[in-house]
Amino acid sequence: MKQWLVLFHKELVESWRNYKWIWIPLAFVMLGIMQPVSTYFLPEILEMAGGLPEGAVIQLPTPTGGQVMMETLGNFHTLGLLILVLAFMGSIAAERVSGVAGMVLVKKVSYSSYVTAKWASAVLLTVVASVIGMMGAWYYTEELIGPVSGAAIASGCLLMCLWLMFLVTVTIVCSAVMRSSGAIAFVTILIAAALTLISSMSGTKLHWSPGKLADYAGAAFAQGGMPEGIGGAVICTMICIALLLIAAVTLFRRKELVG
Amino acid sequence: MPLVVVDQLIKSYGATQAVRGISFAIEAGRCTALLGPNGAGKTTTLNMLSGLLKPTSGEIRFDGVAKGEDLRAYIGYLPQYTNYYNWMSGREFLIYVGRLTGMDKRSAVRRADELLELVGIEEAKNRRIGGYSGGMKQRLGLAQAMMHRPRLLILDEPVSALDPIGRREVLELMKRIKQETTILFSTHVLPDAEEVCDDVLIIRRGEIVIAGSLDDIRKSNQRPVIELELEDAAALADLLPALRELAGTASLEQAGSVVRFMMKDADELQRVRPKLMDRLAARQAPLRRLEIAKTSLEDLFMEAVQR
Repeated sequence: MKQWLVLFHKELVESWRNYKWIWIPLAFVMLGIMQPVSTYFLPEILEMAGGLPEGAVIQLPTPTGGQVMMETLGNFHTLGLLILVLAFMGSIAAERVSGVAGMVLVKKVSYSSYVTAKWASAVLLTVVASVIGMMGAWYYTEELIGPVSGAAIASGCLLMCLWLMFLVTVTIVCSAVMRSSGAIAFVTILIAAALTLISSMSGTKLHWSPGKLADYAGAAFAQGGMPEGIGGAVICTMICIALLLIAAVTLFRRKELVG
Repeated sequence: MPLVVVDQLIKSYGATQAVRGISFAIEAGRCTALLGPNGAGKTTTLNMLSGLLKPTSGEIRFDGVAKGEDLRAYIGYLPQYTNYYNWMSGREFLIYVGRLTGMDKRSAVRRADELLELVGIEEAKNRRIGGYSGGMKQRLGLAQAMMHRPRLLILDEPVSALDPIGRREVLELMKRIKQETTILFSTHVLPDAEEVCDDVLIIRRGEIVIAGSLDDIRKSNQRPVIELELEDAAALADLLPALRELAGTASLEQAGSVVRFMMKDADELQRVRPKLMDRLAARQAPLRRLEIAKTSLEDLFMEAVQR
């Protein structure tokens, strides 16, 4: 445990010194406030863009706060995911390629601590960035669009965080197994896309699939609280995260760190 | 009682064997050089000892350590290509390494400062490693390998990538370190090995060809050499057929105006020397130098790896 804390502390210091703790939350805040602000100013934006005939009247249905939050969620699930994958794809692979992983693991360092410390640091950053981004979105939606209930925010935020945590775990597993960061990013995004696509196409049949979490998070805003029947997906995702971590450690241990 | 015994170590990649059944022992308190040309299997052998590579078969036994126990706690390792977290300072990296190996904060700090002084980079200890020179990185590498006071220090080509000054500094450092710790290091440069080591293992194509203490190897493999230099190459060319005939079983090497006779033993020297003198006198050869020397370790090394 002491060794794990040393490793974890190093990860935190590293992501602080290379500014991950600044730019990732900042990017999430931007993503969060982009949707309510651009929705609010949409008529003005259209007008300024020009090209409309004289006297044209733009009538847009005013969206509810919940709808804007759902759209924000979409941004987190696409652009936000991309940011996270880019930030964490090298966390193990880059250290292996540079040889510093060999330098550390030739000491009596447990492989599982090495992997899980990296994972924990990535997850912590993901959760903090998501929550801050969500808070930004909530504030601007309330100010500019309309009210959103705290229960909806809490449930939506929780489900989104779990889904992003799952994908960060996939990134870490890929990073432990592969050496090329391009391949790591590609595989992770492919898995995310495939899971959401399959889960939403299958209707309610795959109600327990982690891929459903994105839908459920949206539903939380539509319904203004935790949607029904999400237990299966939540538990299944947690089990998947645990299994993925075990797989990452097992596969990483079998990798030869040199040659 | 040797510190480490390596028994029939084999590492194969597919059909090719990088290391083919190496066996040797390392005595505690000695400095051993693993010597061989590039691609002989030195790094592979060291990586197996350090635990970074798993041997295909064979065994590594460490004195006083139960079979199957993690050997990493007893070994300090400096890889051939060092890489660090460039955002850390040298001192931070040493403390990090110390804490990883189970030291508490205070003793890690103390040991780090002690080693920074030993390897002579204390003036740079708070600078980022990214800005270190190759020599400084190598010295930091030695320090990080020694943080947890390992019983065996494994250094993979510790001086090969350094300039003459850096090389000198690291060799001096190794001489100091070997007072306290058993060292096993690899090199393809013979003079480096000769300078610091007590024992030599010469390895060629994954097999050990010569093993023993430097002194023993020198003694048992040393043979007399006659070195003859004439005024010019033309005079030597003139004389060469006669010399060849005279040399008999001794091998003869010619380069420019110098010719070397490698003798099998002292008896042969006694036989050849007077005849050679007679011949030289009879021909009034334009002699510049005639020297009776002994084969150097270099000759032995070249012979061993080229056989």
